[in-house]
Amino acid sequence: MFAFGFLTTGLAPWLMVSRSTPSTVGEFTSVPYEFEDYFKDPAEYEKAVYRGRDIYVREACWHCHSQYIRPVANEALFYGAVSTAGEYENKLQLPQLFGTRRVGPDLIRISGKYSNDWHFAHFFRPRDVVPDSVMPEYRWFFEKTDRFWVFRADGSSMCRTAECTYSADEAKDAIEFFQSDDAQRAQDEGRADPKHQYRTEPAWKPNNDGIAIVAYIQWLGSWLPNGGRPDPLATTVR
Amino acid sequence: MSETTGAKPANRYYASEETLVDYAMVKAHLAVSVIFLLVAILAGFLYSLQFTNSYPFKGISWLSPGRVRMLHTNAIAYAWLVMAFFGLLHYMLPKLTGQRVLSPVISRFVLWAWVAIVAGTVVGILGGTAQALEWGETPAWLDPIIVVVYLIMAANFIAPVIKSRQKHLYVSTWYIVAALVWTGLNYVMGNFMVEYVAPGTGGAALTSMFIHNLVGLFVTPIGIASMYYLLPLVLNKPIYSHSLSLIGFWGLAFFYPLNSTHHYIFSPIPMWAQYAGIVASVGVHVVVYTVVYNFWMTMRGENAQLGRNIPYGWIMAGTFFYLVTCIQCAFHVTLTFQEIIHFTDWVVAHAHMVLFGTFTFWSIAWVYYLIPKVWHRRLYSRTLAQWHFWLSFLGLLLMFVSLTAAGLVQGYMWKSMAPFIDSVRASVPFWLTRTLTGTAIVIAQLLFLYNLYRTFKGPEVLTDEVHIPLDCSEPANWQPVITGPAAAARPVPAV
Repeated sequence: MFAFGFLTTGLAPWLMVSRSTPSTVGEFTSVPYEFEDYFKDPAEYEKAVYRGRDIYVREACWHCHSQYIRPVANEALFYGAVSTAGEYENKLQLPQLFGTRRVGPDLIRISGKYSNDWHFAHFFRPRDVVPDSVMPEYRWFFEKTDRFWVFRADGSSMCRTAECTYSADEAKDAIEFFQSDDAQRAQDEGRADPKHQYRTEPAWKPNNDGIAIVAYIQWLGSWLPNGGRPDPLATTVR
Repeated sequence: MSETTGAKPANRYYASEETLVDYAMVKAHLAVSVIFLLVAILAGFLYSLQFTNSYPFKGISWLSPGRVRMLHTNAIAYAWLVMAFFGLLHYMLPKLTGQRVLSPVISRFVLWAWVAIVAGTVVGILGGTAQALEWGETPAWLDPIIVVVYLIMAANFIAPVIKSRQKHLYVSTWYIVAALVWTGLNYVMGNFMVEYVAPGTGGAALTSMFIHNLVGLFVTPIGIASMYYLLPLVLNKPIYSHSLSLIGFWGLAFFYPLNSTHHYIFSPIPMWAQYAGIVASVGVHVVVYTVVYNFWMTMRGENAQLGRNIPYGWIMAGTFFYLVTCIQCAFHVTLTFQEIIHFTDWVVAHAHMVLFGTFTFWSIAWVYYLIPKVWHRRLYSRTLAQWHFWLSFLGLLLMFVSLTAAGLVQGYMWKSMAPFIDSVRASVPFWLTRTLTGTAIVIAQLLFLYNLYRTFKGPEVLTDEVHIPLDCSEPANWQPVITGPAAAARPVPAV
């Protein structure tokens, strides 16, 4: 009976799918422009996507995010194109990562939905980007740099440079500037000096793991136009 | 079977020539398994804290919630249940077949090898070498070792069945032998084919077979086998019907291996395979009703025992949960249910009722039963045992209700196309309830361990002197009782 079950519900669907649907995705011939800052040639990019897949497995992302769209429950409208078997016939899907639970949303139509920077911020501290998110923080995808962020006591980030980060000396200057600015403004408006507190925090940047996992996430669905998501200009709603 | 004849010890592992059971191994396996049970439940509790944004180990990679979740499910399956089942097999099989296991040396080797495998799994998963196979996240480098140890273990347990010259095997033996064979095949299929051979959709079809068969063809048959063995002992009467028990066995053998595709309904797996999985899953009704009817008819008229017979309470609650969870399964595999409840906490609720409510409850019944039988001790505190039961029972029931409701909320919110985060916000109260009920379950197991600790520190009493307050004394010449045509071959011993 075990053999019968294996043949009918295991082997037969597998052979049927693998024979009838040629592999159409998973070829890396160029580096997408969003990743040109990180990778020079396609081989490097391909390696990062594979590494990202391994991180996805290691951190058990697939326990909370599924990777297939069903033809029911309005999923085609919510996420995008219904999954087809051919999309999964490539080496990046070995072992398969369909998933069985959605604590977070499905990811197979995620490519290009958010920018790389959105993903980095989200991995660093998800609740900064999506309030009430229950996703864990992945600090180990990041490394400290020698630059700093400056925050006011209420948590707002203070920007004086293009990237909002400062070297140690600049940070000191910036805090002096912000404080004198606060005092000046209070004087102009006839209030008491508010004496805002400022603090610095080391700035983080994604390490190789962080870049790899984002490369992988951005790959999911990239074989379809607009990541397989519904055309925002389409007006037909069922 | 009796150790009181005063014969010389046969060797260092057995008390006498007549001793069939390697008691040291029964004790060792069960003692290790209850510790693993606590670890597994603690891991689940820890993971649940993430859902209420109160996870204590933020930013520590090896204690990340994702990894702890894998630890939770794997520890329940491979550490707690497998270990406990090995212990029970050491007790049941020699008595069922009248033969010792193949070799006491192998038994000891398997015990330590399995402890090492569990330790390796913990290190592997937390260290970041987990495998992407649900319920088989054991690192890929450990899999060949596990297969070898498994084969040695299976030979150890199947040998007494082959050596036994009985014409009529008790139903427990059928289940056990089948489970040992199936699981070997299943483990190899899941861990090697899915990992290295079959990508994507085909891999998903095979994965679903692995997930399902681990529960359906390992945990279920050995759990049911152990209950067909324990229930008559605890109640001191034969099982209601031997024929029904065989219908249940062959029903399981026929339907369960075909069920698996129901784990990926509406996926790109060919639709005919999904239909086949659904139809076979509905066929599981046959198995469940025969087994539960058989148990209940055996329990009939024994309600008076519920208050004082501690293992009986656990068996009865486990049987109740088994019925609930299996009826639920046969319905929620249908397309209608799947549209809403797939991917939701409904399934999580179901899984907890199967593995905790049913099989953990049954295994705990065994531990309580074996305290006087194997450890020759009186239970330290009946009150603690009652607390253990009611906290576990009510904790699980509430957790089940809470997660099932959460599943419906999530499913309908997703269908309504609300932003995803809205379904997360709506789930938080249910997740908080889950953590609280989980706390009750953790406390219950701590009481259990404390009770066991005090029991083992207590004085050892000779077997026949023990007046067992649990009403679970076993007649010295007990054999599993067969009714029906086979009864002539194995007459019921006078009690």
